[in-house]
Amino acid sequence: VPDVRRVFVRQARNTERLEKRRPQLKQFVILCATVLAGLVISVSHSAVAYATCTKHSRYETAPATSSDGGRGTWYLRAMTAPDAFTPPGGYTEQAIWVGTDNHASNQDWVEVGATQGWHGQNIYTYFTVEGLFGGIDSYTETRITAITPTYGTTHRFSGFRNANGTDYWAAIDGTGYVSWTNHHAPTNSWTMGYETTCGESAQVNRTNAIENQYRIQATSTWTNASSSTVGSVAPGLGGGFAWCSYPLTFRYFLRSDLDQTICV
Amino acid sequence: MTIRMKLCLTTAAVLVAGAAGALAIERATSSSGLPVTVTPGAQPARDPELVARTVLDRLGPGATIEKMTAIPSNADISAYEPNGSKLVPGVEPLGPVWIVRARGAFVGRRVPPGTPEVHHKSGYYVVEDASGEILEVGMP
Repeated sequence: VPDVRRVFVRQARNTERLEKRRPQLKQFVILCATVLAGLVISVSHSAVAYATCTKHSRYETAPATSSDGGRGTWYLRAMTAPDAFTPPGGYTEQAIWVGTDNHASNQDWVEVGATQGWHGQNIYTYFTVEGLFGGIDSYTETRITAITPTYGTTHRFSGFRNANGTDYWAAIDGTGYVSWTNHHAPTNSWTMGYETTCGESAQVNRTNAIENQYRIQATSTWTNASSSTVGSVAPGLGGGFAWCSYPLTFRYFLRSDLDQTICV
Repeated sequence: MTIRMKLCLTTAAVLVAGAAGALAIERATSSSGLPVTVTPGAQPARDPELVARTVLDRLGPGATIEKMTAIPSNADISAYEPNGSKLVPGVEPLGPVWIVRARGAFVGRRVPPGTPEVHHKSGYYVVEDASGEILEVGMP
């Protein structure tokens, strides 16, 4: 009987001790939860993540040692960027990405095109971008302000090695506007198409690309692409892509209200 | 007070102190005493505070200004930023412009298909003095 009593007393003491510690434990849990919540909030504020849709592209590979430029001509049809004002500023663009430094056009490239939406402004402007990830780490985008694009007009966009053999130029209708000094030949691939930021109902009306060429390095002459591959299409975006006269001309669109079966 | 509680409180205190310190540094850098340089030939009219605000607004919370340089035009940004643009001779430049070097959440999104967007903690903006509009962004 005394043993049983001792057990009861011990249990009672333990329960009492736990009851006393309960508020402390509660405080501990609340404090840790607060600290964790603070950490989560600070991390979510510092890590800015914006999704990019990069679809409806076309891809062409040129001989690795013979090319020093790529170009395409297309009709500028209306496009929209409803998230242009949403920080950090959405956009929809039509562009050519020309590979440099003997790297693929998605690694080292010079890009030139027209965009709806530019750093928080809902404007339509020409622009060019350079990216170097094969060696030097750099990314730069700049507006081309000397000329202004107009819907309903046709223009040639190109990226090619400058005559001095060092820089790559971003050119429109054969005129160079911006020189990117850290880009060199050869060009071993290029890509053309559109790109839009995710999230809202951006639109690219049916766009007809009527020229698709690369420049032969030895002769500085332009020649038609001989083979090509259609890039991926974002599921659910409501866009499409089609060859009109393979592999030279093609069309692409995103939620366009124009007849998609027409190739002009 | 248990050892576990003491540890937790100490950690919390350190974190709070660190956050407060960081905020204090940001405030000191961005509110007054902007590190402005005006190069010979540049005659900017815009208030540097407004230029800085344009950049900080683009970069979001926690961004800070490191250096602001007013230059006569955007003809050769590469003279100041190694990977910056350089206008082809004969192309009409805009000017004066501000090159604003900053720290913050720089994001490059105009990447080719198959390339993930670019993130850097530092970079620069080029802002046109006359309009206050962004002409260029580069990173890192």
